[in-house]
Amino acid sequence: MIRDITLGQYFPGNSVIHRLDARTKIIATLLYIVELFVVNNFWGFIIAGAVLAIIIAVSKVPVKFIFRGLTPVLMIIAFTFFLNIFMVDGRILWQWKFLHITYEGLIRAFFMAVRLVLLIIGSSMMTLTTKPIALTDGLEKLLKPFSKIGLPSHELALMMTIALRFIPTLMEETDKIIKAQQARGSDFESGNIIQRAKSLIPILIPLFVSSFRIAQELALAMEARCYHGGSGRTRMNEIHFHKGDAIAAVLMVLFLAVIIASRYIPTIF
Amino acid sequence: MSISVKDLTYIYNPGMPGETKALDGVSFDVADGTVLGIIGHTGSGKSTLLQHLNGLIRPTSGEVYIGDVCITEKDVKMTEIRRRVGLVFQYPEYQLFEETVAKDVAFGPHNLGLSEEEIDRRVKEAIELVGLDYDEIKDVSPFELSGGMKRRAAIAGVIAMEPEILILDEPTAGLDPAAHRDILSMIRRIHDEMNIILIFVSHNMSDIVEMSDRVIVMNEGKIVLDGTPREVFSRAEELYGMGLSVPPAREIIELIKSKTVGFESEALTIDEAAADIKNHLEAARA
Repeated sequence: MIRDITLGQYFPGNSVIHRLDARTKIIATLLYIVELFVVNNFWGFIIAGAVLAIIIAVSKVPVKFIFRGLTPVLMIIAFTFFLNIFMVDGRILWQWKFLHITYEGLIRAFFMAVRLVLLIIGSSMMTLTTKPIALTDGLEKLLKPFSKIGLPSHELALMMTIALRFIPTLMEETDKIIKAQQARGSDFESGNIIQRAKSLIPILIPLFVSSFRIAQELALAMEARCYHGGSGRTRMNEIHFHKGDAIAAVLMVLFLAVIIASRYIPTIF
Repeated sequence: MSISVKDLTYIYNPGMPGETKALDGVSFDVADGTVLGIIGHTGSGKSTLLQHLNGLIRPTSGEVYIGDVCITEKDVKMTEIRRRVGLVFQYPEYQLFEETVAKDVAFGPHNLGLSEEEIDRRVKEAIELVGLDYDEIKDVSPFELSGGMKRRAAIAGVIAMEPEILILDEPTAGLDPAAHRDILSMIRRIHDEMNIILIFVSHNMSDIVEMSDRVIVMNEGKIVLDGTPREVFSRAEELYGMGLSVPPAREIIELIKSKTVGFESEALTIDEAAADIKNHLEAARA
């Protein structure tokens, strides 16, 4: 059920991709997303897809695991697909009252769906191969320059760390409470929408109470270890760029060039 | 009412990284009126086993019979099973959610679709049975109670469903000694008055000896020992090997035995130990 959501999960491993600096992976992911919107034809998507396939192969994350993360967003993808099919004007292929499917719409819808799939897989590759802590550390470092203009980069990173850290805890807590209420005969599966919403109350209230308790305990534990915010704080594990990151940077630039060039490849469409 | 568990196996995350066999061919029967204690270190499969007994988890393979109903079959009616098998989780006070204690206790009976009068009667009885004062407590918010009282209120919520089998997962965890004693005697009273099968998990070996007719020891998803407390705790070496222990009274007796020639005792409780030591001393003096 809730456990099946793999989006944002970390998949332990020790591949070249796993060992890259988190900052490299964050920048690469952002760049990849931008590039997906630069792509405007068939060839570009093939290249972008191939690059992603290579990254997946190198990372050794099982493909099954990645695609399972896609299932929760399938609805959104299907929705955008149908919206695009019907909304674009052009050469009409099929018509029924006010609905019409055009050649251009079909292509646009297909591109949009592929774009979304690549986007989701691409960004989940970042979280799948990077420990959450490394990810927030990298983000903090990347945002550091902006602290001069008042952006609380450390606080933001800490909030993210805590949020990520407590996802599994809260999931476990939810699971426990659901089971406890089921043991008292509550039924979440039947009834109309109002009855179902009402049946969530016995779960949500204990969950809120637990969250506050957990937050309070965490705050006390941090106080007890003299936590006082970001200024002047040193780290146990400093992150550094390595040779792999340099190679990755070169490949990224190359990839960007190829993607831009792909816009000028003539296509059959 | 009786329970029969046949070759129960449960695998967490099959085919995934982190696949684990939580239960591995567990079989046992429990006769009516039994108090069954379950011990085993953390992760030995106790909690998973308990959740199978009221259908919260479906087994990978194997069967569970409650009376003559097989609850592991697909089309079995779950509310009926939940009514007959009451399960109290660890730290049950974290499941309280209603505005008043009475309403919270009534949650289970409501789900069973009982009449208002029947619900009122059961709520009152359950609250009294766990040793709380109904008139004093019925309109109080459960969040305002003390730790021990919260736990009683939560247990009352399960008892109000009038189960024929009551299962408690570490009912005394995290309580102070006074509340600990209260909860134990309360459980004993519930068993005697409702005349039910009682199954409980505990890490406190003295509690196990004091309460149970029969003890099951779990290790790595299997039942490794099964017998009366006296039989089980005579296998001290094996228990220590599994990260478990024997009751403190027995520990002292073993220590004395190893240092005293001619002293014999199989005592499990402090009273038995005291009697055996007294006898030995008197015999030695004579």
